Formats: sequence, C-alpha cells, structure tokens
Amino acid sequence: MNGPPRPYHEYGDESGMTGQDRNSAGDKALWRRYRGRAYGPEAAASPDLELIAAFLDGRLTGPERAAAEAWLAATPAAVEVLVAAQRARLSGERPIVPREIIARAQALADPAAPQAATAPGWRERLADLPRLLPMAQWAAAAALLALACYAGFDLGLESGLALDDPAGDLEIAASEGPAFEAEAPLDGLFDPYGSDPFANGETS
Amino acid sequence: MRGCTAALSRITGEASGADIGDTLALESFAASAARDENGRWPPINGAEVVARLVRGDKEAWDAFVERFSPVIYAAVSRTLRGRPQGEAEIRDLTQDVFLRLCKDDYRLLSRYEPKRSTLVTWLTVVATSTTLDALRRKRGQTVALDDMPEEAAAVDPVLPAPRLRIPKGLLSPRQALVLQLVFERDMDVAEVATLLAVNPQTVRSTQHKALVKLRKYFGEEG
Repeated sequence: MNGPPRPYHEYGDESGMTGQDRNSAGDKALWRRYRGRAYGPEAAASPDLELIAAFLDGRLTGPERAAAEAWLAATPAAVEVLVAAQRARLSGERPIVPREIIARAQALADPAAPQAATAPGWRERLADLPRLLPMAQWAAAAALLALACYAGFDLGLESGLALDDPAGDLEIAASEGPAFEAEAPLDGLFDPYGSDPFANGETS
Repeated sequence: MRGCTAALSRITGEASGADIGDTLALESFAASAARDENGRWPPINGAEVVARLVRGDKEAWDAFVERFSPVIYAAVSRTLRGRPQGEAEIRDLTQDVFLRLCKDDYRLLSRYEPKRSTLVTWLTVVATSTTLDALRRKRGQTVALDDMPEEAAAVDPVLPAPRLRIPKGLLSPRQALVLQLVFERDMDVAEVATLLAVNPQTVRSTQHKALVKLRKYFGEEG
C-alpha cells in the first residue's frame, strides 16, 4: 500500500472511479485470491428461497435486510440464485410457452389429490385411536377365541389317538395300508432263483 | 409422490373436487388465466391461489400453470442463457419446476409467504434455483476422457497460488457482498445498486473501501 487511498473527488470520471478501480483485472484478481477463505460454514448451506424472494421484493426491514446481506455474503450459492433471479426479473421477458409444456405441467396434478387431502392422515388416525380401541379389543378377543378353539381341537385329536394306541402302531399301520399286501412283493424280492424250492413239496 | 402424478404424458380432464362454496371464486381464478384485451394479466391474490392449490384443486392448478408458465419458462431460459443447453433442456427444466412445486402434497408451494414476496418473484427464485441445481448436478457428472476435448483434459502446468485468509471482520458483510457481486457475478455498479436498493455512489464507495482494506491488510500495491 503506497500512502492513503485517494478521496473520490480525485478520481478520473463522474462515476467516481478510474478505469483501474472499476472492476479492474487487478482488483478482481485480488478478491479472487483471498475470497476462497472468506466464506464461513454457511457457504455450503442451501439457499433460503423465501428470504431471497423477500430481499428482491424489498420487503425486509432494516435489521432483516442487514442480516440477509450478512447471510448472502457468506453463502455464494444464495448469491448465485439471487443474481440470476434478479436478472430474470429485470429482463421482463414473458415468452409464449409452447402448449405442450403447459399440457404436461397441468397433467402433473393428481386428480386423486383432493381425496388424498381429505382422507385422514396418520395424525387423524392416531386421534381416532380411543374410538377405535374397543373395536380392536373385540377383534383381538375373537381372534384369541378362534385360536384357542383350533388348538383345543388339534390337541384333542392327538390325545385321542394316543389313548387308543399308546405305541402309535395303529396310525403307522393305517398309513402303510394292510400288512398282507406288503408281503406279496417281498416274496419275489427275496427269491434269487425265481421259484420257491418248497413249492413242489420237496422235503430234505 | 402425492400431489403430482408421475405419468407426465397423461393429460387429465377431470373436474375439480372443490365444493359448491368455492365455485364462484374458483371460476374467477380460472378466468384470471386469460389476459385482458391489452394482453395484461388481471391481478390475483397469491395467498388465495396457493391455498387452493395446496388443497389439491385440479382446476386451480390448470389455471396456475396457464398463468405462471411464462414466468417460470422465462426464468429457466434466462438462467440457461449463454450456456450450451437447448430448447429441450428448457422444456425439461420448466417441467421440473412444476414437478417440484406440486410434489409431496405441494410442500414447496405451501412454503410461499405472500407477506414477504409476490408470487411472481417467488416463482422466479424457485425456477432459477431449480435450474442452477440442475446445472450443478450436470457439472458433477463425470465425462469419459475420450469424450472430453483435448484442451479440457490437459493439466494446467501452473500451480495455483496458496490462498490466504481474509480475517473475520476485516470486511463488513455489505463490503464482502459488493465485491462478490462485482467480481464473481460480473454485475456493474448500477445492477448492484438496484439489487441492494442503494445509491450507485454507495456501491462505489463500499467497493473502494473494501479494496483499500484488502490491499492494506495484504500489503498489495494500490
């Protein structure tokens, strides 16, 4: 720094700034060299769209505006939105939008949404819980009764069999069919000669 | 996704679920989707519009889209200006903005605060933010080395200079904001003055004082 800064009236033109001072490459380089560390943790925060809109419309009070400026200074993503939105606003462009875009956007609204909006949400359902509780109790009691009946029937069936046939042979025999039918094929299987040596009534 | 349907190509024509008491007001809002003989939109109550939309009123949504699609379309195309994106990108992003507005039972739309801004400004901000998000996502996508131009893939032989830290409190928030707007967003003094709602001379003065402080602190030549 060579001496104190010059007062504005000493600058070259009516704007109060020389060509060097007006967005000069040197100033820009100076800022860019240091600004990387100027941002705080807010830098990564997502922009508050409502605050940006309020800022653009000039609806913030003095202190609110100062706070918004501090937030913007520390949040480059918000400044990016702010500047782009400002430029879009000032351009005043209102293009004729292709009908296809309008139709597609209109189709986005779900016709079922009004019903969905009036249908009770989880909060309403929770609020209804006291009213629904007796019904739930009756339903649970009926389910328990049915379960008990089924279990009793099943248990009774098993215990009845066990009393008639403690060894369980009856059940096995019933599942295998009559014993005499099982003997016939076995005779053939255990006859390596294909005939019964005792069939002719020979005796040793 | 409630509030919006994912079937983008389907065009529905069902009547709204509004009750009889709403009919007149609803008709007047639907009629507001038409410009007058001078090509101007009739004034509307933003809070009333949003209240109807949040209730899931299909007719109100159709009127809303009809009326505000030029605002959103203009904001998207203005934000994309100077970038290689084409008409298809503008169309898709306009659709994305509407989708963002109505999804999850119009969650974003219900955040609109009529006391803080006009609906047009708020929608412009939402459209701009959506577009910038999309650009950021696109920049984040990796590009195959073979598809990249040679100069883009070249390694910069000049190592970046180490950055020094601007001490907290050296610049006032407004000074930091002005330098950011001028040097990073390439705004001229008049634009910054309009944005900050101050006199252009105040912007010049703020910028100058900030630069003097920086030069003095870092021992740079003035």
